[in-house]
Amino acid sequence: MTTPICAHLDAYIGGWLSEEQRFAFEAHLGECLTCAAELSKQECVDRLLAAARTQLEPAPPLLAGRIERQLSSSPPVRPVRWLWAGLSAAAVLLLGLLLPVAQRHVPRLGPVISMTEPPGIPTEDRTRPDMEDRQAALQQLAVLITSRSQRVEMKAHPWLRLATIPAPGEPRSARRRSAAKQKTPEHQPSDIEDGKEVRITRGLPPYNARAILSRRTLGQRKLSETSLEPAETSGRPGHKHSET
Amino acid sequence: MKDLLSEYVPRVYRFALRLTRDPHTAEEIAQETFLRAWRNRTRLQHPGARRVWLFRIAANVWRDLARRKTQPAESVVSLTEDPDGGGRTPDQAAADQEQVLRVIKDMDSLPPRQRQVLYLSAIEELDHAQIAQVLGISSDAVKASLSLARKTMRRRWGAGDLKRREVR
Repeated sequence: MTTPICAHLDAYIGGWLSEEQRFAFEAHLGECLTCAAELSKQECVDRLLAAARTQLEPAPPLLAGRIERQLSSSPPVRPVRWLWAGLSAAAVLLLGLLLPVAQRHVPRLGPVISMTEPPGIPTEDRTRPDMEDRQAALQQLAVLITSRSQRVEMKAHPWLRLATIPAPGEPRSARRRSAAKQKTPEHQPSDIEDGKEVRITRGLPPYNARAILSRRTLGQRKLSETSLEPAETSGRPGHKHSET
Repeated sequence: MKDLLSEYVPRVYRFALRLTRDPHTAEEIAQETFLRAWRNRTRLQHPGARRVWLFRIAANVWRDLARRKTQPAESVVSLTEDPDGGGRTPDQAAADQEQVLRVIKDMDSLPPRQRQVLYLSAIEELDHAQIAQVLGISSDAVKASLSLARKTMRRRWGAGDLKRREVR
């Protein structure tokens, strides 16, 4: 016959009863043959399981050696240095926050100018003095524009790309730039926009590019002084730019 | 490292066998367990808890493997002989050996959770809190599984077995 206290048998075996409950159950064991028999069975099973500890299957003989080789060939993983990781993260965060501010206040430096000889010019023309002069003029332009913190990309193969980025103080975004254009149209070239590609042909020699660029730079007078006007060979004799 | 491996590789392998019941998978689990333990060895702050830590990693490896593939139901075999006869006669030793093999087989035929809990309790002598830690379950769940496992084992070991045992 089982009583409610018989349900405490497993808790008693597991040692999960309170002291009071344990005393009560031990008193019960003296009266309940069922629980006493169950406890006796459990003790027998426990003894056998304890004996089984030494007779369980062994690990494969080569397993430990294989694991040892694996571990020795495995590169040691350095523990994460939390201090350094935290400092690095803070530095990256700080850089990310300060960079836009710095870009706003520090004048834009360094042009990207790639100047190559326009391929449209025939080989025989390249030896002509005016062609050499045009190239020299373009290079000088590049130097001047560079010195004025304008960024210019000129790819003369096969297109001449004029990409100017507003100097400090000029509106940067396209919307603001177009608004500024409407307000002050006299400061913008009429025939070319930022980034527009101009195909180099024999009829559009580098001095045209100079003319456009010279509007964008502050040193217009200086530009015009250094530029060479291929008046005779370009078919546009006496061409003068409005800026000069 | 060699000493540690010689001590813990068999333990982890045997526990992995109780988890998988497949010797090849148990080897795989043991290897992966020690590799993970080696990589994360700085996380072990109390060397006394090494065994529980390794078992826990093994249980995690087993769970990861179980997610990837279904477990083959292969019974655990190849038990070792009792190294010393314990001063018993050959007949007694053989009979005891038979009893031990039988109790191991009974344990291995329990439902998975009961088998794992009983193994960790009876063979590895972990308490219920440690078992809960290893298997990632609550202490109450450990107690419930252990009670069921013990009850099943007692039922399988009927009165006749006990009488024979007591005569010896």
